[in-house]
Amino acid sequence: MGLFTELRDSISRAVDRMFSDAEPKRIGIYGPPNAGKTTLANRIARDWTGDAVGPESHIPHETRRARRKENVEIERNGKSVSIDIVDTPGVTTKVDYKEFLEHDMEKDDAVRRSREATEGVAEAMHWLREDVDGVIYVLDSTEDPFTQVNTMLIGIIESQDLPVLIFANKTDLDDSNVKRIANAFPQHETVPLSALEGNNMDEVYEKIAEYFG
Amino acid sequence: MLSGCPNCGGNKFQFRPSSATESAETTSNPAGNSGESSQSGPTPEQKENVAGGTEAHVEDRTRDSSTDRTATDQDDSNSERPRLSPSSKKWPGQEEPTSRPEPPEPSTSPGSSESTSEPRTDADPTQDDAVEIDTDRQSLGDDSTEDTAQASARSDVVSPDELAAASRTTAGDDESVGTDESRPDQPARPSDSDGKVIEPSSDERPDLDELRAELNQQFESIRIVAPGEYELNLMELYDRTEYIISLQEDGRYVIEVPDTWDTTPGGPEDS
Repeated sequence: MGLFTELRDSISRAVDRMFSDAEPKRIGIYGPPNAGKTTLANRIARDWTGDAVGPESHIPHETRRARRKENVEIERNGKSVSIDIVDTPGVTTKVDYKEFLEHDMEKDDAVRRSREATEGVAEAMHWLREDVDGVIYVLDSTEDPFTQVNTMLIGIIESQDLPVLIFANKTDLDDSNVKRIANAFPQHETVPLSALEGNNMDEVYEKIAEYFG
Repeated sequence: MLSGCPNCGGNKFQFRPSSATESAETTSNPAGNSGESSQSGPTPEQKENVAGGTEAHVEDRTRDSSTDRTATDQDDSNSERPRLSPSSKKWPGQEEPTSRPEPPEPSTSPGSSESTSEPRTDADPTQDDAVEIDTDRQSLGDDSTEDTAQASARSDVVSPDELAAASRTTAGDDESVGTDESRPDQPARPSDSDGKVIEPSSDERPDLDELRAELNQQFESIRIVAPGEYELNLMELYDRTEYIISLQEDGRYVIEVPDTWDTTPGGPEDS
């Protein structure tokens, strides 16, 4: 049954790509918690639609439900690209409410947030399986990219043959190390940026138009 | 000429131009006719012959005792001579039993029915040539060595010892028999290179598969370690068709069954 499901998915995906001109592609923004996914989604949405996608926070797992911003028109080099942005919860293999207690949160709230964050990871993985045409993988360039989650997610994305761009975020911070990310995933294009400061967004949009247009 | 191997279930054929066989005969004849080799041959054949082998052996022995093979060959038609003589000279011991039994019979017992059987012998000798090739390999090891050489040996099944032995025997065969015999041995040689090529490819992608297997064995999609503490199996979450909507305090979680995915997106079910 799994084989049949994969076959069905691959066929539906291929059909979707055949009619890519008619429908905007769904681009999932994936990455570990606190990488700046929602900040990037808000930056893109604000630049091209004027609206935000969701609240940003320093506390991990602020985004616990996938949020979609539809029909984001990006114009680059005289070419217009229409995409749906899906901001997904941060993906991790372990969620612990005690992590949230450090952010002055009550235990009950921390436990609930932990549960919701876990549900969010499940939802993110479900989106990746069912309903994404391309992936923007956001990494905190101040953190070590060699993690189990990153390796696994990139592997899944590659197995799906989805177009993927790796964004090395937070280049405005002193500890940023873009080269480390580029070396970790040499098979993919790595684009440095600061979604918070809006640095290097021109290249970001060029790459989005190139990869997902 | 295209001939079949009687001991191979009719699955193996070998093309042998008559000119090549003749040349091989002429070259092999001087050194080939030795009573010693003919005597040593029958024993391996006895092992090889599956059905009716004993009868053939008995006949062979009678022929051997008759000594003059050339005389019997002369009795046969010219077309038969080259085939019969090469087989007898090249593989006196091994193949004579199967191929020669029939030709000598006509000579010893002049019956019309036996003379009709001679045409079979024409085909048989050529078959014997194919048999000789097989027996070469079989003499190296088991009866199944040929199958492994073509199929399994390509993936490192063949041991170095077997290859060394094969190279020795094939070298000897080439000297005595000729180029035709060396060809069938060639398939076993590329198997070495094939095995070497396979090894590096297996080292390429251990990461994701191993990771996946390890995680799938550890726990299922979501494990509740304690209230507010969760461990997630990303691969399992990715692979499962159900959509986990929400977790319950007691550890149960609400899922959406795939069948209801398209029709009722808001209709979760308790599991």
